[in-house]
Amino acid sequence: MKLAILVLEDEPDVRAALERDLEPLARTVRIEPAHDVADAQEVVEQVAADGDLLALVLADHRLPGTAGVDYLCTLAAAPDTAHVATVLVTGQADQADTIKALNLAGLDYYIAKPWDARELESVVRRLLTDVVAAVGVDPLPHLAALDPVRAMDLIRSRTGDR
Amino acid sequence: MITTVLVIGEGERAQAAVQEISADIGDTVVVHSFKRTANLADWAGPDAGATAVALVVLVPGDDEHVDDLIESVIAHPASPDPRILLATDRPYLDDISRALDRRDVAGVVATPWTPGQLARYTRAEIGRWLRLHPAGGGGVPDLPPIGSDLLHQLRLPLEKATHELLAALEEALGPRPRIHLPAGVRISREDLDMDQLYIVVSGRVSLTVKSPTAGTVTLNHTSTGPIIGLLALTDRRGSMVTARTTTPCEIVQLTVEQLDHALATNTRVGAVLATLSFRALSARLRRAQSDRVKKTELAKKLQSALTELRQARADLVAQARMATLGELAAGIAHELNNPVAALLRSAEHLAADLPALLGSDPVTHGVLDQARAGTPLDARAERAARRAIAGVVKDPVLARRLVAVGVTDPKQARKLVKGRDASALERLELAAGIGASLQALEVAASHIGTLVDGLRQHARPDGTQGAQHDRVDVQETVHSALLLLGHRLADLTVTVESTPDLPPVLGASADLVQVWTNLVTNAADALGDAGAIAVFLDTVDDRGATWVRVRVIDDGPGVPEDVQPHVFEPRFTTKHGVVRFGLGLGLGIAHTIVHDHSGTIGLESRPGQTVFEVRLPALPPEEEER
Repeated sequence: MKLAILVLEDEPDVRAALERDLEPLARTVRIEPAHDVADAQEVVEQVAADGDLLALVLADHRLPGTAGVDYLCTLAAAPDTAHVATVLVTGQADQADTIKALNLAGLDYYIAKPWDARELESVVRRLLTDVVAAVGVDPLPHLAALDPVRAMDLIRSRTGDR
Repeated sequence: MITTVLVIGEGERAQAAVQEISADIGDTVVVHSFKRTANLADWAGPDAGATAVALVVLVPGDDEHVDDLIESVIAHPASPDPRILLATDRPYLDDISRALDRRDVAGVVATPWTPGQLARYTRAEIGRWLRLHPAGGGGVPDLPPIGSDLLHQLRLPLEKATHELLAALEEALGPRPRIHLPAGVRISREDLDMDQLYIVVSGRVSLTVKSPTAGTVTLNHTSTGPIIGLLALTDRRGSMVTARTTTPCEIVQLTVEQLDHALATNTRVGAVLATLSFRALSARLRRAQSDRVKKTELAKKLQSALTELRQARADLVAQARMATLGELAAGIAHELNNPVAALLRSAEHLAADLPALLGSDPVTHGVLDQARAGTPLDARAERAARRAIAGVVKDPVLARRLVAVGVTDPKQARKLVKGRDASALERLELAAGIGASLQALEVAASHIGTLVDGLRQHARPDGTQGAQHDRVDVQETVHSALLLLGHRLADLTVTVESTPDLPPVLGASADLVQVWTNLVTNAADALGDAGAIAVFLDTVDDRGATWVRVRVIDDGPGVPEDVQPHVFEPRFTTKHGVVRFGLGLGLGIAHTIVHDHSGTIGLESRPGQTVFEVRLPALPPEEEER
């Protein structure tokens, strides 16, 4: 079982850049691109069908059709995906959108374009670790993609439980 | 002709009124008597052949409210507009303000009245009513003759009154010599003491005043009375005006002492002099009032003229600024032309020279060419390609990078991974990056080129006039435009309808394509993500000619009314600090081109339907045969 990250972004260049910056995690975590909400839903279903665990969504706010924020809300509302960490990557979201994302989608992080590659990586690691802790999966196989210190704590506490 | 008179009220006074009127003019009026206005409701109205109520003699009781009484009288259908005489013994009236305001009350008679006077007033008021309501027909009785001297003289023609004054004066002083003056003699002068009086028997005298700003101002002739010097006598100051004969005049001169003597010996002199002065003053007063009204009107006109002037000046400044900006834009466009051309050339050279530099590796070349020409995969295709490649290379990172440089064939991928070291992939990525950069360079340069062309075309619209004008099939140019715009119209419904056998027009087809492109682009911009654009082509006959008519219609939100008059004016919009020439110039360019084709362009817009209509002169059939 692998953790999966969904990169939802309609601009091919930006999508590629996000994926390139996530490359350090790519051997451990499954990273799937999607260009619109329908496409993203396909990815979500595919990930579930493969038995992997969707752990994190990076979504652009401005998308053709449904807005990124609305999609994050949908994910947060569905029981199967309620655990998923959500990150809004956006160049322009007004205050109302941001408030909506925070309140309804349980937004975990807000990244403004242009982003800093190191910030992106560390945020993703931290959020993946949160999800692993919350869902209660074994952190060991995913260690390379997690926050090292907190992951070790997690492992210790799990052994402690036994 | 029988006139209807109502007497409303109780007691002796009301009875006396009925009796006096009946006795005096009972043969021409029917007098109806009511105790209260409430009784009017049961009244059937005037007798057959009689007029509507011409006069109401109202004798209010002590506790009755006169305004209320009058209102209930005029509310009766038979007495919509009567003369109303109020007969009362009250020492004061505080309840007729509404009626006075409406001018309902013709007169107030104090009771008891001198016997016979009420009948006299009644005759006069009935006469006035008949004058105001001539539809009643029949003879209109004369108003009673004026008995008083003052009113009599006030109504005399001015000339007669003057002669009467002269007669009265000569009665007292003996014959007065007539002084004959040619035109141009000053009888009185500003700021010189005036101690004489002149009576102008015939001829005209003009009055002038000196004003520090306007020089000499001539007063209207109507304010000149027959007596000159009267005002100066009253306030014992120097004359306020200069009086000058403008035609040959006959005047009579009087010193103050002579006037004094005449006044003392003949009382008629005083009476006539008073009425003449009164008339002269009232003429001047009327003149002053109408001058004041005119002055107010002029001031208002002046104000609005000033406002318009300010607006015009602001417009001029704005136009000048636009013209400067236009020149600047044209200059920049001109200056940009060479660098843009250099950019495009450089991109071409780079693309041509790079292969030689890259060596002979066909994979690298392929990657470069694909990146330069290709459009990126969408995410779904990308995932599929990655899955396929990952099946061969077993490394998700490598698979992503291979797909990113455009390697989507698993066999090719296997070959690449087997035969090469890690640096080879990096080399491919570099090639893909260079290809993408080249593409970006070319797209950007051609984008700038288009903008510059648009600017130049706008800045020197006569440049397009030099274009060759041929027979052009309009429908074809519309289709070309839509073809060019294909990518922009993906989300919209676009329909084209044309009448068969559309005549050709004389024009430059590239320019016409530009017109349709701009109009359709404009419609698409207005629609945003969804909507319908319809293009109709047909012919209309107007102003003795046949026109090919092209209408571009969208169902968008419409052009705001305040913007409509300006849509064809060249503008550029600034949005979020980004200058967008294309948008603002498009319609202006369309306008210029259509005019170059001797055509017209117009806009009709409301929410839900915006129509841009272009008319181009159709080529006549015989022209077509050539």
